[in-house]
Amino acid sequence: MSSTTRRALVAGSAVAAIAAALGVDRRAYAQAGTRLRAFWWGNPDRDKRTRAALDAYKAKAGTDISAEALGWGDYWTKLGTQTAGGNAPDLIQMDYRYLFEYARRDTLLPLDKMSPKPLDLGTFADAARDCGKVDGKLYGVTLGTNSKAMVYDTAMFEKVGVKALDPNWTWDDFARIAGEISKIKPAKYWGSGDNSRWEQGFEHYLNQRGKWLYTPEGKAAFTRDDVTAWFDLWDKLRKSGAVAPAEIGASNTGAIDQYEISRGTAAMSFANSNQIVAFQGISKSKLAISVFPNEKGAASGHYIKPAMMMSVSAKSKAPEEAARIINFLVNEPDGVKALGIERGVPPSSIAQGLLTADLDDLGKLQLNYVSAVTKVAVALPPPPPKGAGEIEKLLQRVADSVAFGRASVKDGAAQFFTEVESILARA
Amino acid sequence: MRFPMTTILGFSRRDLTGYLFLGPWLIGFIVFTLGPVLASLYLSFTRFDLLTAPRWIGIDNYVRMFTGDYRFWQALKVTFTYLLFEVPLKLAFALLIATLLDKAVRGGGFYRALFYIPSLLGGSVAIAVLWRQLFEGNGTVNQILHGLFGIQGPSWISNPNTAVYTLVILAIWQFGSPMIIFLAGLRQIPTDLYEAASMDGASKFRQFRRITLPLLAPVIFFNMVLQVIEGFKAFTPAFIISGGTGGPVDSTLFYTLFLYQEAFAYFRMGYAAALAWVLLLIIGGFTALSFLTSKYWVHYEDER
Repeated sequence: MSSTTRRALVAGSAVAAIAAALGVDRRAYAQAGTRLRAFWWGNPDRDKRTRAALDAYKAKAGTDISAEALGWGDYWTKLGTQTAGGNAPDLIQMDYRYLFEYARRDTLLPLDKMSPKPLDLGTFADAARDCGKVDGKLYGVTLGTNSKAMVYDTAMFEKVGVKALDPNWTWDDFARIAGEISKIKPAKYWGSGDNSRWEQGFEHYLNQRGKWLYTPEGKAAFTRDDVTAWFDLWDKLRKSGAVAPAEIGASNTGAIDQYEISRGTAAMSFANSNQIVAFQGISKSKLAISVFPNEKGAASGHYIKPAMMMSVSAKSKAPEEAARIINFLVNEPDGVKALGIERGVPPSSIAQGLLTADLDDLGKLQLNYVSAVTKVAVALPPPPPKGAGEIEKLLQRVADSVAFGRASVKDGAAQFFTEVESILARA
Repeated sequence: MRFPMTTILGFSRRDLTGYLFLGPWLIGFIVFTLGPVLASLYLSFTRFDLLTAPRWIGIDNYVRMFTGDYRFWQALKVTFTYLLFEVPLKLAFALLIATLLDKAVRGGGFYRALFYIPSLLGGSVAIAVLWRQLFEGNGTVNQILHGLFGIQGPSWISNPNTAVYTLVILAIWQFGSPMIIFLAGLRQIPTDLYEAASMDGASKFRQFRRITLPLLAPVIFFNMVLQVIEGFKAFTPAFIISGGTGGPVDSTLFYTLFLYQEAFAYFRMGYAAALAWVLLLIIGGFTALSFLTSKYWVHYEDER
């Protein structure tokens, strides 16, 4: 190579490197229109659907939207960092758990003035709209509603003679069915995953007893005895062999493919109704969903949750356009059909009308489930306070140490309760 | 003044040229390293949750760490357990392989490259995922144990008693870089010493103890300091294998993982910054201790 061409090559690649370093994107020149960023937590199926919906919007309005998706845990880390750095994405997928924190720090845009144009929320039932409100102002628009659900393997249930699961089933029924399934492949496959470590499971147990996890003031709304009863329930189930042992439970990281039912170690896992789509995507056998087991005559404990909301960053340079995109996702046929029912049952009547016509089996299963649960649902609990995320992890640790026999049920409950109070006091 | 015309602000022109060349690096260092380091020192005395401005709270973070946070002590315990097993075993293994490769075996270069490969891969996410699959309940290790000996092994990574040792094994497996350094060290030892020793009838083991080890001491020392620092900084394997929790029951809660959780899971940036400074002091303390004690067991050839 002669020295001239080498110099040209070096210079050329240096320019390219500088351009890359400065984030110069050729598409930015080509497209003079608005460019927005959308960010959500998801799974491969959700990501595909959401990108398709955003592409459909681009085809319609010409707006370029750069999309990014992460898993639940990493999502909040990155969103927190970006928000602090003043470059939050325009469209933010928001959870009920964090809505209040973000809204009260003025990082989200109130959307009241955007309705009915460009964002029409007249199609929403009042409850579905109001769950996105903080201190009277609207900060989040629900994309779908769900409720907690027990996901189970129908083939395994049939093997032990359960053709149709009674929606009024009790914890005793649960212990019996799980125990029988555990006998099919002893020490390899169990009736159910261990649910003692799942914060939402504990919350549900409290809801069944007419209590909440947190008070509206952000204090613990349960007692030490509630925790003891919860740990004791699962301790007995573990010892009887009905639910998987500690080692299996401790390896569930909370990603869909790490649940017992996905890894082929148990016939039941506790999750949320919209996740049936993702679970079925992994499982070879036919899955179904049911309400959680209960005490006879007690409240169902289920509530209808705004599963995923869309919020707009307070720093967005194109808030109107962002609101228009949300409207596209909840009200317009192309957006609604692309998203489908993966995020839960869509709240707008237009979307429901569009989807019910051509729902697949999983969609129908979900829709029927949510409408059945709606009839017995308890009220939406107050939003979790700051520090709730830490308490979620704390429960995993303490429940695991009880499961591994490192702490007694009583000591574990005492430890959990004491630490919850200190975390909430510190937050 | 000898160069009145060429002196600008006290720098000679020659110095200035030097600084000019140093400039890009210096700017990078100040902006991207020194600046953040100083900022983190300030933040360690504040309460900072990313979304609202930092608030000065004095030494509260440090007080809490030592008096009110049992996870801090758990993180230290895990990290020290890890170091206690990982550093000596890895060094012993690296030295063993280096001694074998030092003999002129055929294809020595090939084996050297082969043994080095784990060090290139070991820190990656892919290997951590692989490790998870090797050591889980129905993983490869248990299948081999079951097939060969009929033993039903536990789920190594989900058991709080064994989880940290799977990470120790992962670290030992990456013995490549100390091995290469040992090899270089072994080549420096004059062969006539061994020849003289064999003449006197010293066994191979005695030669190793009396000649190799003492003459290799500076290299062992160097490797040890390096490995201890690396060990304190270990993060990726524990993060991936425990799904970021440090579980089960905090049994793989490395100090760095604990710091990461406090910072990016619970948004206590101030507390995390304080943790980072304590880690720096611990590593600095260990290195200083190593250097202070080294004069009793490390002998350099130029010393008398």
